[in-house]
Amino acid sequence: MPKRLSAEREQLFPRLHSSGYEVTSPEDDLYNCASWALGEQHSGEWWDPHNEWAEGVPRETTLEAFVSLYQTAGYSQCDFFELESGFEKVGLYGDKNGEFTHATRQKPSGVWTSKLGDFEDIMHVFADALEGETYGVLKIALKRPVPMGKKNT
Amino acid sequence: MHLADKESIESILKFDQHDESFEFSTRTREWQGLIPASLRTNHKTSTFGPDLGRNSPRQSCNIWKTSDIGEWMVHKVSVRDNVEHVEIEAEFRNLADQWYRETGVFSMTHKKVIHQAYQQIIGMGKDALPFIFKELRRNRSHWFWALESITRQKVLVSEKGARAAIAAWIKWGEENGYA
Repeated sequence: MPKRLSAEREQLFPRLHSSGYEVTSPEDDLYNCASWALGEQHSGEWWDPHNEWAEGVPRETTLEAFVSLYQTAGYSQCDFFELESGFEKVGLYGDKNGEFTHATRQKPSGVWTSKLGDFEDIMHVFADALEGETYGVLKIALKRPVPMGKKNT
Repeated sequence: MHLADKESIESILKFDQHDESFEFSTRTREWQGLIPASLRTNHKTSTFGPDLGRNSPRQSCNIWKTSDIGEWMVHKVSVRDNVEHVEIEAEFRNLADQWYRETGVFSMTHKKVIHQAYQQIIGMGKDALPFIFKELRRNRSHWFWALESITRQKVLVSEKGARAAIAAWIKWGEENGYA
C-alpha cells in the first residue's frame, strides 16, 4: 500500500487522491518546494524572497520573480508539461493574484515530485494534481537540459 | 517532587510551604554553562531554567537565588513561578500547534508569519523565548522572524541554509540565558 498523507492534509488537495500519489519522505521544515524543485535542499535551504534567493532577481513573490529565479538555474519557459527526453521540467503554481504558491519537479520517469510546504514530499502522477484552493492553478512550465552525469532524485 | 533522578541534581535540601519554594544542590562545575554569570554573582531572579528531569512536574523554573558553597551550588526555586511557567508553555504549545497545522502547507515565509497564532506568539514577548529555542533544537526553522521581533537582534550567519541559522540562534540563546 502506498503511504498516504493524513486525511486532514489530503483534503487540502481535492484532486490528489483520485489522480494517484504516494508520500516519499517525512515532513521536514528545513527546505521548501522551490528548493526541492531546484535540487538545493541539502543544507536546509528555504528558497523564497525572504530567505535564500538568487542575486539579481527581484525579491518578490510573483510568478515572474520565480520564473527569473529558475532562469538563473538554466531553466526557460516552455509550452507543455509532458516528458521530453533530455530535459528536466518544473511546473509553477500560482494564485489568482499572480503570486507564486508552489513548484513541482518532473522525474525522469515522467511522474512529478513535490514538497508540500513544511509537510511531506510526495510523488504524484500528474503535474496539476495539486490544483485547488490551497495552491491555485498550475500555470507555468519550465525546462532545462538534464545536466551531464546528474542523478535525478 | 521527583528531582533526584536527574544526575546533576545532588539532593533536595528544603521545601518551604510558606513561600512555595524548594532548594536543591548541584555540583558547581556541572552548572557553569547553564547559569548566566550575572545570576551567579548578583543572585538575581532569572527566567531561564534547568531541565529538572522527565519526572519533574516542570521542564524549567525560575531560580530565585544561587549561592556558591565551595564546589557546590544551592538553588532556591519558586514553585509558584513554575506553575506560571507551565501555563505559558501550554499557551505557546497551543498557538504553535495551531500555526503549524494551518500554515505548514505553505512555502512562502510571509504567509506563515502573518498568521494570527504566530503574531500572538510574538506578542508573548520574551516569555516565549525558551520555548522558541526548544523548537529550534527540534530543527523547526521558521522562528527567526519571531526571534528578531522579540529580541530586536539580528544574528549573523556565516553560511547559508536553515541549519546554520538555527545553530547561530541557539548559540545566541545560550549566551543570553534563554536556550
